[in-house]
Amino acid sequence: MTERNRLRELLEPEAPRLSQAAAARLATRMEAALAGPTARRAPRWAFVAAPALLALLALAWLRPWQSETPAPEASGYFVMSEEDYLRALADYQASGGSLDSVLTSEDSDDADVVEFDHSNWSDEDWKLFQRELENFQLTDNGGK
Amino acid sequence: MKAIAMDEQDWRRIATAPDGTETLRRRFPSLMRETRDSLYATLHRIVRNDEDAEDLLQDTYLRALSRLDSYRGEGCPEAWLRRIAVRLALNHLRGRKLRRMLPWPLPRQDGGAPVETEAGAERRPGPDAQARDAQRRRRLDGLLAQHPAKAQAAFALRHLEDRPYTEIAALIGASEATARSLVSRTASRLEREIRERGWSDD
Repeated sequence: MTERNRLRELLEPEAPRLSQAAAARLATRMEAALAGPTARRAPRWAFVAAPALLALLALAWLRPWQSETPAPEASGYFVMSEEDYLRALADYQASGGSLDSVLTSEDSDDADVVEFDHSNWSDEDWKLFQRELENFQLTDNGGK
Repeated sequence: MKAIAMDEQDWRRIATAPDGTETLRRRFPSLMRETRDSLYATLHRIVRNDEDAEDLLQDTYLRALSRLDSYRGEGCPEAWLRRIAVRLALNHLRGRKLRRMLPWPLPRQDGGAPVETEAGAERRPGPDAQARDAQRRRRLDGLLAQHPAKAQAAFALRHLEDRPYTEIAALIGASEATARSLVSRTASRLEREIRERGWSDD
């Protein structure tokens, strides 16, 4: 007997046959599949791929790496330039700590003079502003 | 009532008709009955395991059912189904190889006992010879499993199913020359094993 024939004989002593039980299982499964589209088995990879895809879509939509801090004005903060701030500070110091001198100007016609709109400031805003000015003065004087 | 055999042209006419998919769906149960034994044998010869072959047979029909619209009548439906089955078997073999590489053990999928046939019982060797042959078959299965998935499939389709190389090449998605080379290398290694161990003398 040649190796080739012997190989076939060893590998397959008799032709594989689908058992009756297996054929019945197959028929039941296929009847269910033919009955409706819901009977189709979801592929195993879908259980991993679907959540991963959703997470990626959420990331692409939200783009957390591109998020920007909203401008201070947008959050309701009062904003002034450094130049304006220094001028207000100088007025404050010259007046011996009077806020009125900062917020009103004798030379109101001068285009360089800043007119603060403080009409909507609360008591808390006033206190914060005053504290800022005082803290700045202390720092500017080397803490004296 | 006697079933009328349909040829390739009939199938093409059905597949390309406007309601072709629906017609194929209606004919699917009979198509399944006609092809299941042959497809099961092909799958079993490739994956060498009852349970896996049964699962893959079911997957083949489910896959075909979900893609009935992709069958355009090129060849008979059995060839189309066999193509799906072989592709699924190849994926299965690749997955099996991957599972063997995992460092943790996975539950084994042992096949059930095959159905005894009268013809098989008549030519069945004695218990000792059966045990010896079963041991040799396991050894050959182990050797076969060391080959790439396409080589295993090509070898089974050629040596256990006697399919022509052109068909094997189409089924495994390779050129005819590659299919020939895969079959030849795999068979040589297994035949050498038989020769070296003196298994051809008994």
